[in-house]
Amino acid sequence: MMRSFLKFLLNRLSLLIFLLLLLAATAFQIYFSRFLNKNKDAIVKSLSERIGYKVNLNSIDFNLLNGLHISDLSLYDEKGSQEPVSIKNCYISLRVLPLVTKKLSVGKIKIDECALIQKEKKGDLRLNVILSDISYKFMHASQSGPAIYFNNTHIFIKQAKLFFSDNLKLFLQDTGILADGSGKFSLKTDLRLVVKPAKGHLLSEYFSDNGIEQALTCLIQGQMIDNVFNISLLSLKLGENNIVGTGKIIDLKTSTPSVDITFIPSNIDFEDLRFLRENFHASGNLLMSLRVKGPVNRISPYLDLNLENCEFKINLKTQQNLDFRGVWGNIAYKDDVLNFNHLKMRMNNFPFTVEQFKFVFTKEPEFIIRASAQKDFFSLHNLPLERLNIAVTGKIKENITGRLSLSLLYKRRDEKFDMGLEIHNIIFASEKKGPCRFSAGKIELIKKDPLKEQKLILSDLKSDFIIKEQSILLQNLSLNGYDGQIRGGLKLNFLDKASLKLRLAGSGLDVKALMEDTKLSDKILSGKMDIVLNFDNLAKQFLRGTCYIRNGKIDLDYLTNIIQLPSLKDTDFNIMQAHFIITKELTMIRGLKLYSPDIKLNAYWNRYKIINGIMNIKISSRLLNESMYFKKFLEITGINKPFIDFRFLLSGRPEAVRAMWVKGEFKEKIEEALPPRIKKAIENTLEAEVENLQTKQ
Amino acid sequence: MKLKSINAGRAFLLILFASLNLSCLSTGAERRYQEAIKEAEEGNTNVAFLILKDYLNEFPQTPYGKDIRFALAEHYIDMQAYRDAIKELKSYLTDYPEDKTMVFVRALIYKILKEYQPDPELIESIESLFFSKSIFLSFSSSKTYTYKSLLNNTYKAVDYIDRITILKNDEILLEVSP
Repeated sequence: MMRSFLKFLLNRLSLLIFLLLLLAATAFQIYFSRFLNKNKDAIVKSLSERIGYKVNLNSIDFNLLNGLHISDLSLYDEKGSQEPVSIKNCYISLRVLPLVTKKLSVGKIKIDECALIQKEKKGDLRLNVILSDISYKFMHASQSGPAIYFNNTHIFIKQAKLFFSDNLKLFLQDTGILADGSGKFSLKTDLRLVVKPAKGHLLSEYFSDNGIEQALTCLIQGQMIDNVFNISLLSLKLGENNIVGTGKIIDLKTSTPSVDITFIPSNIDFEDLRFLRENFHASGNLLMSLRVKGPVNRISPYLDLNLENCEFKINLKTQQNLDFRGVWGNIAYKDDVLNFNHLKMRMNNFPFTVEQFKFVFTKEPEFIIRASAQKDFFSLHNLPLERLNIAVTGKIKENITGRLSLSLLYKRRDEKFDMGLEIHNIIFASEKKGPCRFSAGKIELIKKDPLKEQKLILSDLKSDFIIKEQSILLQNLSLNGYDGQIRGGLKLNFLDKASLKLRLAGSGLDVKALMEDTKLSDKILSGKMDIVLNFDNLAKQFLRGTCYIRNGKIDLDYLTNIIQLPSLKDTDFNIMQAHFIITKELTMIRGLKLYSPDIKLNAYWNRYKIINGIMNIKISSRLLNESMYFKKFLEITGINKPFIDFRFLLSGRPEAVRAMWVKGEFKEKIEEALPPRIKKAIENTLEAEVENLQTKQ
Repeated sequence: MKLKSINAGRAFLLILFASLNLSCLSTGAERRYQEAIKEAEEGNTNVAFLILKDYLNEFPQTPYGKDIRFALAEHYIDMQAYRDAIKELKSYLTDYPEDKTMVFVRALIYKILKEYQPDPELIESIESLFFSKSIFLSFSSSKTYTYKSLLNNTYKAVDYIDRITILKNDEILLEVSP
């Protein structure tokens, strides 16, 4: 009985003591909280004096479980206009035992939400200076207070925002920091990096409104010794991949600390890089080597990327995009220079290799591109090409300016032509609305074969430049050249089969200069030409055209020499007209017409290796009468017409034409009138003339 | 003085003897050549071939050399010794590039290459040679060239505006278009 009573009494006593202690603690908590609040201003003043920065806080109280609780704590800069540090709720637990020896040792700090602003002043970084300064002053005793010890202090920050600038922000979630008294430090956080290119910046149009946004898990381990933070481990976890580095940050307490961190080569899956995935639909793998070095405000990264089967899509403008697939090769960035080395890719279904790409990031970036189409492109698209090289040099200011060289080896049956295109003073002017404006100065198109060099020189190109799906369009194209104007459009398509469609209409072109450059004919001496050209590489008749030459001169000696007429070297003509069609096998001239006072010519022929055609010529009796032979023939035949009809069949090879005089009124009458002996003599004379002419040529 | 006139007399006799000797040789060569022609006319082309080959070896500078080499090539073709025929015809092409018989030599090479030893590049280059000269047919529809070989074959090349026909003894040997 007694025993059970004692037990009851003990239980009650324990409960009573517990209640008393609880009551005392609550009373202490209430008392201490009231004390703190009552002396809030004094605490703020003392704290400001202690750390040397203006401090503001909303309330301060004490909680037995969480320790000191400070709400809405903020630090002001010297002018009091900005808050480099602001903390929503901060709980600080001090260790009890060290208090006995009058030491303030922080066991745990818990922060619900804080924002840190890395202020830039005259280009210097400040937050690190402020934090270093504060932590130094806390850890060392002074007149305004005792030293505060951070031995195995756990700091937990639920949410933190770190603003480096308006364009660069870090969002930290569930950040755990462990600091010991020797300066050792470890941090683990889930990080979200947000970079928004400034409006109007070159890169701004390539990113969505969110800019670059990338989540990663960050682990930092290191030790602060004097002014240097040695990072023994920096691990950035991107999806399944870890990017691991080591290094140091020196002069941490100055306004411009220097960083030197080297990351060991790491594999990265583009799937894990959200900003690339969302802005550029990037996929594939790369092996990255990275070293970050230099003052934090001017960090110069050394970056080396080896890409393996990567894909990107760049939306240049509305409805315009560049689609890169199967990208293999090396990209390096060092000292503000971006280099691509032997990068193989397929852009908008166009497989090519970038032998060299150099982009210098200066105020006015400069670039060099040397690329070549891959051979499978020609076979894939059934193009009659064996080589296609492109070289571009340029500068980016308000517009893209530069020079473009194109070199290709064109194969037509068993003939090969070396072709080159040089476009000088290119300007790509990007309009806010509507298509890019593409203009250029001098344009040289040169075609070489073993026998001759042909060229076409134009200038003042103006056009709308549009990239649409897998097409490049030049619309409203205009050019000047040979005293005339050329207008038209071009469409380059890489969809299923690479196609090039070109439509040009030129007017008032000076034939003399044009023929001298193009060497199309040494017989057409002068005149003004209007021409319409349609080129479609997929069509069987890939080039069709019509040209009219007005008020010109032509050399018809070739015709007249055979039949021994007076020289017609400078024959005036009113109009010459030709329709021509070029297929892979043939060059067809349909309806070549020439009207001059003494000769009217109407011919058509096909030409590839062989010529096959008909030529009708009407020669004036006036002209024929100037020939001794024809004067006699006209007398014999008794034909008295202003023009005599001749008709010839054409055959043979272009370099050795075979012609046959087809029967007509004039020929029949001559045959009837002349004895075989004379006919034979005429034939022999003509044959000798033809042979003679061929030798001369 | 006496010695000098004796020497001059000896030299004269020597020249006279040499001339007589060469004349005899020359007459013998002509006889052998004519003998070969006779054998060919009688249809003994094998005998004719052997005489002509021997003759050419002995007198390589003979004015009949061009015709003999053509005849040798013809016989090689008949004997289906195409390699020897091609060799002979090619050296003919080199030695007589401007000769009127060229069209027939090309025709024989072309036929061998086409039928027995295909060589597309050479075939094409010969094809282009057939049509390397312009012609103008005014009153007749073709031009004809003929050649009678030592082996008694008559070759005819008929040049039309759109083709060349080669005939051997009035049978079409081949027809080529540009």
